[in-house]
Amino acid sequence: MSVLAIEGLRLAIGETPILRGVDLAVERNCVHGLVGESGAGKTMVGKAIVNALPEAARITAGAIRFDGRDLIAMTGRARRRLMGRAIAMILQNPMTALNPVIRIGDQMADILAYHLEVSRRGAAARAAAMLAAVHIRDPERVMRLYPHELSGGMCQRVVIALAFACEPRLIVADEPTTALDVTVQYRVLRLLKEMQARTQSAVLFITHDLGVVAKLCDEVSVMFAGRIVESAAVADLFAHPRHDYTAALLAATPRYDRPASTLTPIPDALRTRLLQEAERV
Amino acid sequence: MFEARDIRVALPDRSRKPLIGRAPLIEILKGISLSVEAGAALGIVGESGSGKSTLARTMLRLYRPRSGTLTFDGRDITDLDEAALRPLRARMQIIFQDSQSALNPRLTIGATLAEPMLSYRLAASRRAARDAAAALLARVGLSADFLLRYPHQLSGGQRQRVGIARALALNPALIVADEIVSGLDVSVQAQILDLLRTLRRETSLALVLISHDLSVVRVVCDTVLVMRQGEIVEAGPCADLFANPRHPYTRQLLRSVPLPVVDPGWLSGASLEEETAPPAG
Repeated sequence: MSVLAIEGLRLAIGETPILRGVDLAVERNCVHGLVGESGAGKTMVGKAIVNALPEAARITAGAIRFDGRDLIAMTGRARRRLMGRAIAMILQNPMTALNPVIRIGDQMADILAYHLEVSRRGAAARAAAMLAAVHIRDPERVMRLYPHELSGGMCQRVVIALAFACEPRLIVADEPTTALDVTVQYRVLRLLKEMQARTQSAVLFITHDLGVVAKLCDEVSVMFAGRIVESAAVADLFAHPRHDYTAALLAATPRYDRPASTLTPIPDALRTRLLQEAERV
Repeated sequence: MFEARDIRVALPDRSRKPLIGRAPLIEILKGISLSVEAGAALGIVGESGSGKSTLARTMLRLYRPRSGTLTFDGRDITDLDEAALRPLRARMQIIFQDSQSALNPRLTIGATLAEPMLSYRLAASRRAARDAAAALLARVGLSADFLLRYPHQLSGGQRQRVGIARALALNPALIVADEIVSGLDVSVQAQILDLLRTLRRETSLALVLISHDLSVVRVVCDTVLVMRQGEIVEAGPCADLFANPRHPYTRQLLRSVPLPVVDPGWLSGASLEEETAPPAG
């Protein structure tokens, strides 16, 4: 059974359809990339899973099954019990995930004490061990710092440590490296993969960057206008993109190892055609 | 057209500012030399903190170097005062990464584009300025409808097009573009890069493109400089440098770029170096 199975998910904000029947399955010990441009609805998929939808959004059809149980049908209390333990989320901006006025060590200990039901002292020791696990040198000192005293890459390490703290079954990561320099991105991706492999978690990795998908993911779904247009194993998708949009997205990705002339923006005609198709379903 | 010779720049280090008195200076650029010809495009790559944005601002004499010379169009501009710089300012333009804060939220796009033309007397009347603004919008792929809109009504990609239009308004000889595509998703990024390529074909503009993304530079530029900690580590034609990087730092940067090519070994290649916390205090 898939850890996460989304079936025919439809979601609207007011009268505007955002998701038009999304089907997606994420397996245990697998990183599944969800790729698409802004407005495709990929972030909304992530928010629907972790129950963080904007107030105006409502789910009009479909199911989000986690280990076979439909999250949408669960009570808020039951869903909250899963969050942070069985399901964790990593956001693009680690600064918004951390409380700016509480020292790193204190906020980590709070979260760990709550989830792991250990004493404060035990939680602090656990926090130090977790910072060491995400390759932060001198964890004791970092625990005494405030988030603004850390670089973006360091903050994201702290957030990753917290996300993996309870060895969750599923992690939703929404553009976690988009704001970072390439070298820092590389280290954060490597850390994410290392932690995922250690815990055998299922990861839904939301991104607009096909390059990151190629390097990190096992499976990938390409999204446009609220629909999944193609799902495939990563090796297959990059060898033979089946959908026109996937091919167009690949052609629009700049690469330093190819002459400049090979970059082609996504044709407006294709975009228009796909929008019309989406509106019909 | 533009030349910088052995430029050194020092700026106040605010993190070490004493309670009373001035912050100590810290050297950001440690002897930078470069030149750009009319019609050419130079890329500058490096990580955050490499000094590339300081270099951009120094080229336009927004900072004054402590030593070295800056030559623009055959004139030494190193020590010119603001009054002497003013007529030259029209001919050298900068475009910033954050298009939101670069545009005045209370001015319509039409006013934003017309203002510099009126101020520099490049348009005889408001009406002529408005027509010229519409023509500029057409050049960057936006319709005349945008003249009456405000920045908040535009998407990030549209705002960045306006930023480019404003830079073009005064027929500059030099445009410095500082990370102008880094906040945009791949499909919008491809459109902006395509626009820059087109502008290069149509004008004899000298373009300097600053980016942390080497693939972006490859699409637009002929030559590239790699910066680290205020110094140039390697420079050369894009095709050569990206195919045969000589400096180990350049090789490390290139390796960190996730090309859209499946490569399971990519994430396990180098050893896991630890990220160091900032110095105490």
